[in-house]
Amino acid sequence: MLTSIEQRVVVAASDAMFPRGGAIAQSGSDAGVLAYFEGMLGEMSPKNRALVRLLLVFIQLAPPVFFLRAPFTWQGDEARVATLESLATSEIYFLRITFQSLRTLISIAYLADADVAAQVGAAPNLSPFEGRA
Amino acid sequence: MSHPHDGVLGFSDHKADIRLSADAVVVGSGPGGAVAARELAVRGLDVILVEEGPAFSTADFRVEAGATMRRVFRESCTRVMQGNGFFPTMQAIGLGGGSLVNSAISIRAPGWALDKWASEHDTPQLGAGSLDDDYAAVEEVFGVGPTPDAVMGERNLVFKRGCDALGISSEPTPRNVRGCKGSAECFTGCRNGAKQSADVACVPDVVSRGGRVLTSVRVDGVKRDGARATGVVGWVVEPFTGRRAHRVEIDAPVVVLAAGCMATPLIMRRSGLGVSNGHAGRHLRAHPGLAVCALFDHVINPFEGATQGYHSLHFLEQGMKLEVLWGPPAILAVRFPGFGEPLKRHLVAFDRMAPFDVFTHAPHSEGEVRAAPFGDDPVISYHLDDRDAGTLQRGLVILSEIAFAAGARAVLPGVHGVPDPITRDQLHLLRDARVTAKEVTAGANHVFGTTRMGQNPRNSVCDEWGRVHDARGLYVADTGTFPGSPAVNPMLTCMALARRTARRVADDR
Ligand SMILES: Cc1cc2nc3c(=O)[nH]c(=O)nc-3n(C[C@H](O)[C@H](O)[C@H](O)COP(=O)(O)OP(=O)(O)OC[C@H]3O[C@@H](n4cnc5c(N)ncnc54)[C@H](O)[C@@H]3O)c2cc1C
Ligand code: SF4
Repeated sequence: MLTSIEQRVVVAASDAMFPRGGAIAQSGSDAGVLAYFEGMLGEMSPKNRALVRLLLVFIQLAPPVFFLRAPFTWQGDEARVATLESLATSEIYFLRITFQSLRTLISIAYLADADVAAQVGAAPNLSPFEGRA
Repeated sequence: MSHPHDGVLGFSDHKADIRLSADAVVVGSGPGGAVAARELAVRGLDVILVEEGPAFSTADFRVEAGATMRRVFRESCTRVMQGNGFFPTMQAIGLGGGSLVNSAISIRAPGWALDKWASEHDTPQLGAGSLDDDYAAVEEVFGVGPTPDAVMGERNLVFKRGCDALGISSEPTPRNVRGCKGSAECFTGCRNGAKQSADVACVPDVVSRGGRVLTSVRVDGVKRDGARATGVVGWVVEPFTGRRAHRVEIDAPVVVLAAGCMATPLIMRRSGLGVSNGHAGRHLRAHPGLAVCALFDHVINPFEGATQGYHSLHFLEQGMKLEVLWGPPAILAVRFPGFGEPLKRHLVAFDRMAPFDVFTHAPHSEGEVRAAPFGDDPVISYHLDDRDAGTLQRGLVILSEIAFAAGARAVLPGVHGVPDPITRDQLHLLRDARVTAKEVTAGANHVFGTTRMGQNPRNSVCDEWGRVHDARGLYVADTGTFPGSPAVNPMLTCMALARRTARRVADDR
């Protein structure tokens, strides 16, 4: 469903947001963020699908347009992190909103992975108080 | 044992074009529509309740947040109101409407809020006390009662302790549940079957009294004979794709629109009814809200405990309501700052975190809902006034004080320009910050006012009984009728007004 460049944006952004190792072992790629995105788009209306794809294209092109940097996927790991930081803390409201939208989608995809969710402690429990005094 | 959706017709039951007639047709099965349909059925009318979305049973609910957002919410939960900022707003699509996914908080509007409606919005019949009987009746049907201690959990109790320490009044939230087990899954649908959503509390009574309930039917317009509503037309639509399958035409001398305050005015505009004064779709009001995440040293285990089990009405007359917040971790994680390893560290510390929210009545802020040039989704505008943003800022400060009084070591205020997290000593940074719509992301799931009530047909859409001014046989029974804010969570007031409207429909016959 995603073009190869859109796929690369998803992988690059998810691994910059959730790099491998540290407090949670899995990276965005390890947690299957790309596959989640593909499935998610398949379930969305054409309008929402177009908006998500537009977001990905925007992330790719925002660095040259706003920060005089190479397109997002052309950048190395450190530069991608710097780009996300620039978006997150930008004085331009629209750029902050763009970052938030991307991070929201990637976080939902990341936390959909059962192993990640377990490390966060979010194991579903239908009756957590049963048997407690 | 019978299932609450026994007798409900779904997409696979609709095999050809549908042509039906009834005494009354109710459009939309949220808290407003379901209550109206039930009341009409109880009063002996032959009712058809139509709902665009499918029915979701306990087995259909998915705990994965994203799946729920795409299946149960309009626009895959990406709907935003746009104006001087982006304001996310969620509307459900399914039998039961918003009650399917909401936190079940069921609270009466305070008398002073209704008196304010009466004095400021020309609804003298809706003053304090006027809804008491209707409130009591729907509370009974929906099993409303205070959240029991046994299912509170530390996330709720820590809020109570913080309030107690500061002398701020707080109380267990009244909720429409029967046998809540405190699984904290209200947003993704109650897999325990404890939540008394409208499809559980009302639909069985509609069916048992001979009413027909059709899901996967989208109403596009109201049929009319001059200024008289004579029924509705629409389509059978496939769940999740919206693909049109069969035509639907229902004849009825009474049409009750309860498609929610974003959809009802658009149905009216498409039908040319109730639109002569140009107010349908305008005066969109909301309860924008913000949250702080309180970080504790001890284990909170926020994943358990009634979804929003405690709240404080202490500052209601100052324009704010304070609540314990909960939702799927994947959604709450949006409130964590940054990315990379710092974000991961916040995620693994989730078990020591408690989110609290504030919403404001936002008396100075307003918006509008309009039809899009193409497609079915509305275009929604909203302007958050700086004064209302200031109220939210004060709310964030108070929530932070509550958190610190309860022993939090830090809070995440989530305001652009304010460090995330801040400690007690740094609270002045939040207090002194400049907060407008653009420094925060204020969401608003309480929306109302687009078909407001009032006695004056020049500046309101329907009268105090929900009767549309310039049409006959046409009523509105969703939150669109609110002339102003109910000051608290809107569902119970929506249901009480819907019952009142249905009583009037029966009397008008
Ligand atoms: C996540 C969340 C949590 C909330 N928590 C609370 C809470 O705890 N307490 C509280 O008081 N309020 C809460 N609210 C708000 C509350 O749920 C809403 O105010 C309430 O559901 C509004 O009821 P309604 O009948 O006006 O509209 P809705 O609940 O929106 O119902 C409208 C129904 O009409 C259907 N419909 C729309 N268009 C058509 C059409 N053309 N044809 C056929 N059917 C149509 C929709 O699919 C929907 O089912 C919450 C809302 C959300 C989203
Ligand atoms: S807290 Fe759990 S058991 Fe209680 S109503 Fe919500 S989902 Fe159902």
